[in-house]
Amino acid sequence: MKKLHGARALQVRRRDGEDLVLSTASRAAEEAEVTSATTKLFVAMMQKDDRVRTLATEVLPTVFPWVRFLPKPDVQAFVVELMDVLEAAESLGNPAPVAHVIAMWKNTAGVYADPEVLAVLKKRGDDLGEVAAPDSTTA
Amino acid sequence: MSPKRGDDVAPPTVSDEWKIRYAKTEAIKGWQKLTNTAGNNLRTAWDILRTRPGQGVSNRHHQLKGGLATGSVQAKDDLPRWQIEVTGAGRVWYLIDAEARTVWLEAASVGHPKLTEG
Repeated sequence: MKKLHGARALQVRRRDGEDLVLSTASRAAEEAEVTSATTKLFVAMMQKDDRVRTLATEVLPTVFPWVRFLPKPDVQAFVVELMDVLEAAESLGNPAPVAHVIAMWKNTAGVYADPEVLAVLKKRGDDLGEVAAPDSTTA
Repeated sequence: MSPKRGDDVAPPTVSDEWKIRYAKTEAIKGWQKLTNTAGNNLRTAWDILRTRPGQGVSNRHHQLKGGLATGSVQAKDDLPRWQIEVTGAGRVWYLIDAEARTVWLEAASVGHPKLTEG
């Protein structure tokens, strides 16, 4: 077990699944409260003024340095999707979709950051034969 | 015997399985490298490819976004492009041809540039 956030949370390693974080109920409630308040504030600001959306696009590389690898149209698409999912996730009280959207765009940026892989993906593919099952005893 | 809660889900019959085919020479090389360095993880990825290549979306298995969301193979364009995180750094990219029930392996990489955490 590993201590997280000072002594207020413990990380429990599991062999048969994802690790668990053990926290106090009050700490978990506080964190949910802060996330909810921040999101509500942000969503309300965007609904009030279109310029907030533009501003969000401008500050995005500060929050997510990897967006620099995305082409401009993709940065725009990421902002729009992030805003939508923030609002939707807040209404459900579930942050998982937000983390998911961020992960998908970050992985996309990862490909743009790798010139070799990017060049391969840009090519048209052809049928080069069947992929056999990998031998699982090698690792 | 009927399946109980917690039992492994039975694998699909062979006719239900997706065909997995190489679409690019780089995929052949990359797949071999991954076989040598992460065989067990690759076996798991291979099982995903043949049983549910476009399902079970997670942070480690999903379609790419924006300009990389689709790709082309032979005469087909705009096939959804997905990625599986095989290991911490290893990745596999493939196109899903639902019509032909075929997964087209485009590239496989043992290493990936480390992006600035953000």
